[in-house]
Amino acid sequence: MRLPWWRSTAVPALPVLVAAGSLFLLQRGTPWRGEWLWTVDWACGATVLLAPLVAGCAAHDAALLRTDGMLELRRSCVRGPRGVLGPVAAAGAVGTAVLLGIVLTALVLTATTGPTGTPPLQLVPVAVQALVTAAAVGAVVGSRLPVLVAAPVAGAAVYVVSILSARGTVPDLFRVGGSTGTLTGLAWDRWFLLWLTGALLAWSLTGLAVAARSSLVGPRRTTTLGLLVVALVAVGTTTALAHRPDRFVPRAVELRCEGERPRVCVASTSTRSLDSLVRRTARLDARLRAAGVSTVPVVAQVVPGHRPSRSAGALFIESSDVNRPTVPWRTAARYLTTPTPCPGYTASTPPPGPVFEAQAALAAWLEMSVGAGDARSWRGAPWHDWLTASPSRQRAWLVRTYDQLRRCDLEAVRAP
Amino acid sequence: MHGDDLHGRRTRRRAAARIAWVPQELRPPARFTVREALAYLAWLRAVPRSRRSDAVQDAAASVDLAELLDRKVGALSGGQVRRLAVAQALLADPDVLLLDEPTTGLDPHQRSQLRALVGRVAQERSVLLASHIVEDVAYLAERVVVLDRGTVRYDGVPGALAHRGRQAGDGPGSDLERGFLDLIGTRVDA
Repeated sequence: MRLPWWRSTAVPALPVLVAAGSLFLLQRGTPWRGEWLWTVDWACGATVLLAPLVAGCAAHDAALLRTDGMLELRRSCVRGPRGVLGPVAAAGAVGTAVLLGIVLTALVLTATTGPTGTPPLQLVPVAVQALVTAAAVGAVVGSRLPVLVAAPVAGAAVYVVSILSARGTVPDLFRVGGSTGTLTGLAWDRWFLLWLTGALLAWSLTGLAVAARSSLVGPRRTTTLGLLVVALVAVGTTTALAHRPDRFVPRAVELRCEGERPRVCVASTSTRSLDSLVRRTARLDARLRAAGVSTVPVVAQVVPGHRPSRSAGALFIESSDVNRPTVPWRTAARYLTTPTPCPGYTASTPPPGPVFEAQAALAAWLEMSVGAGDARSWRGAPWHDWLTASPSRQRAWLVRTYDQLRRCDLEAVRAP
Repeated sequence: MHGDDLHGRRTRRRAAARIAWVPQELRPPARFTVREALAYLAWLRAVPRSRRSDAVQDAAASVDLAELLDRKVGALSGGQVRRLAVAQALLADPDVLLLDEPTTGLDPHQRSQLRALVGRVAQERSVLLASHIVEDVAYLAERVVVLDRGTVRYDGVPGALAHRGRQAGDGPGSDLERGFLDLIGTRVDA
């Protein structure tokens, strides 16, 4: 353990680790800014890149400590088997520091948007454990392979596990977090996290025991038994993990509502877009009412896993829009085309095709009504002529269609 | 070792701590300084934390590396690396020192320095030296054991072995070398 940590391969590799973590954090923009859970989950997902690098650093150090007589000398020393802890601790510590920096950066970025609640941090220790496990894997590889190939082999081995877990072939061991969509209405499954931590811990101990065995001399019966026990625990917890494939469970979510007409309600965990949404839907709703349409007084975000209220219009907010500071007119217009959360929208059989055409026409009309769109944008649409038709003709279709959408009479809906 | 069986499950650790080994080749990672390498090896040898710094200083001083403590291992010469190997063995102040071919690959000057060093170290502890270089044995050994394919062929003082060499007749090499070759059944042609 008492290795000069500042001589660890992870120290000169620090810029690479920071670059990899930052690249991961910002690779898809920052759609998670505004939602604590998604922010922490996404930042912890950096382990998918950090873990292979940490494994490579630990492997390189472990390989260095067994060349040119060092392994034989460690075998003659009282603490020889513990010599493998140094590379694991050093690489794990540097990797952890980078991960915590990435998480902190993400938290600050989200904090500036004024989200509600406090950040849930239960995933962070799991991500740290994943890095330590990756370092232990590196130590195993480094205790068996030459210096030149140890790092790339260890890095590739850990990355392959991540790739296989993404395909569902093996449980997600090094892919901690990294959700690409909003986690509104969800929470981490605490049992999943517990099993994952247990599996990672068991694999760490197995790796350390295997790596340490190369420095052992004399009777090995006890250490072999210990190794078998931790390896069995590792296999057992990993198998159990495979039977809990979902990292998330639904959780009750409160809605926060603002505005008067319509009153706009979104999940209290992601309210960054609410102000913009209230302003824009109010203007759009006013246009509809001016055209004689009977609109709904309340529109509410549809949260996965929760039954939406039939009396409120449905806001099907996509992940890319959920934390937008300014909601585009086109998006706000689309939100008002589902005045009722009809079962058909979320059923296995989609609504009839004309429904989508009618909703597209309705959204286009709304966008044009506030001067945000031009009829030429929809030149190819079959209902393009209707956009420039007389107001009376437009009103007749609007009133009839909106009423059908409110009553979920989707079979009757026709494009203009 | 002082009553502790080296092969006993409970006594091995205590016994092993009193023995230190100098491998034929030892090169700690090149990026370590001499001080860091010795500190790490002192930890491996279970030198208590409170004594570790002094142990490093003393070990380095005893092999004339005190002024090179902050030099990187990668920047040391072959002779200096060999002295570092001896220094690490002295960290835990062992009772027995095992040296494996300590002068192999060194130039005559470095070899002479290392022999003198081993001579100094041997004044305070038992040193068991394995070597094919008969000159080292002649210079350092008080007792010689000749092994030939796993069999002890000679166990005695170097003088008696040299005497045997003189009796074997004239030829190249020292008396001790001829005695050794005569013992293992190899003729030396003039």
